[in-house]
Amino acid sequence: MIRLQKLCKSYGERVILQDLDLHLEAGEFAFLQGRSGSGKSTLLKLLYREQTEFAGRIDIDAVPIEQIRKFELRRMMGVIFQSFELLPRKTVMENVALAGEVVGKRWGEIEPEAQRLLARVGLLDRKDVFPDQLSGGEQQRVAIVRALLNRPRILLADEPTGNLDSETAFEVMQLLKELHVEENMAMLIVTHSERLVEQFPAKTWMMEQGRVRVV
Amino acid sequence: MNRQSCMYMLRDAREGIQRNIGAAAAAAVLIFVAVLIAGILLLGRFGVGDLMGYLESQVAMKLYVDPAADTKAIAAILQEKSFVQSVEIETKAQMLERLAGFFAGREHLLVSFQESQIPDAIRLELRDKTQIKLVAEQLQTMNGITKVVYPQEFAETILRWSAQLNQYGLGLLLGLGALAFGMVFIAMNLAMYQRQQEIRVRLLLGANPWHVRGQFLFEGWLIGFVGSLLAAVAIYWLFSGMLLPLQKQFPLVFHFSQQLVYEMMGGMALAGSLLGLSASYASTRKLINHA
Repeated sequence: MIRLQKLCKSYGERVILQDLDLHLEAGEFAFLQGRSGSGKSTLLKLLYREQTEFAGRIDIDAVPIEQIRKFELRRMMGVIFQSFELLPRKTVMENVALAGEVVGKRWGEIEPEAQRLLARVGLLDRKDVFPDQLSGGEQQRVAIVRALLNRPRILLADEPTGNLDSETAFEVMQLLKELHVEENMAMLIVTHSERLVEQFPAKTWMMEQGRVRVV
Repeated sequence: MNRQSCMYMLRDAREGIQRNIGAAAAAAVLIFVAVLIAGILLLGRFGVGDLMGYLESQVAMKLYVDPAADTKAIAAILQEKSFVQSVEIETKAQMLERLAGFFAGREHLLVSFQESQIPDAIRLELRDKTQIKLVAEQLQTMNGITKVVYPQEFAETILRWSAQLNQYGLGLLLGLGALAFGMVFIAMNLAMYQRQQEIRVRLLLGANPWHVRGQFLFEGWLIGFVGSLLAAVAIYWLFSGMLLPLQKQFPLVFHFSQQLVYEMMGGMALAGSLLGLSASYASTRKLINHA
């Protein structure tokens, strides 16, 4: 599904990624672990094309990523961020629905799916509140629902538990694991937390100084 | 883009403009003023055109006679000319009588006319209106004639004033148009700044960058359309409140066409819309480049 070959990325003299070879299969769950500054987030940004310059190859379903239009690529993917990226002026339901709106779905399609997913993460009764009325864990669950609304084939999560306490981080990760099975999608979770990786055994790539090794 | 996307766009435009109401209103007001000035200049042009046509269709002129000269003798000479249709003498007494009607109720103003040295005048009607200027120039040199007054001369003065007014008006219009363009540009930049997180999230969720840009183009268009629509309504109000009564009073002079005014209003709305659209197009270039 996602295949990286000899992927290199640098900012001027500073090498961030060096000769990376990775392969994430459809429906696979994997962690990308590493210290801050090891290049994990840069790799994710290259995958959802927030950054576009690199050397080597990134193929999505055997198609070079440069040949896929940015918005079409992003419709295949759901992305979750450490900072949740919820819109403060929109309610929980509106934040979730935004994912459907931007791809032109009708409200009749969006609403039942949003309700189903919000109920799944235990937030249906909070659908009309604003993000600042939610706890960090709840905000991240809303962000997860938003990322899943269009049933993407790949979910990319950039430090999804980075802003959460350890107990909430565990709950969120457990939710992601369950959703991975239920929704049958590939998930690549970027984290610096060794503890989480130990708690949820899965394929793990360790990034160190721009290179990667399978743990 | 489907109907549902249009509905989302309308909702987002309403929310976006509400968040940025000050800048949006200022931009709409500037567009209103610029388009209103354009409309007034155009209406003025129609009026001046009608007035010019009327004046130029006139075949009469007035000759003021030297008090030392024999008015009747001069009139007799003129009567013999081939280009003259009719000759009519107007004495000081006849003129005062005519003015008395005009100054009814304000007779004290007429006293100064009664006491002044008003010369006799000869009202001349020509056979051919195209010759009036040439004839006026010739008669100006005739012995016993002190002054020749003819409508075409007045028309030329009006034309000169009108050209000058149009020139200043056009300058003002261009200045205000540029200001309005800049204001919409700023309003859209402000809107994008306020909504940069939303733009980023939309793009990351898979929005087509042109749809995201389209949202701002739509808002720019809406600002331009509202401003120019109000200006078009104001122009219609001016037309029906001032020009139509004028036309009723002087039906031979003015012939304003209602159809033309409607077309002008449509043109104004289109011009304002284009102004708003082009300003937001310019301000969102970066958005599409960095999407």
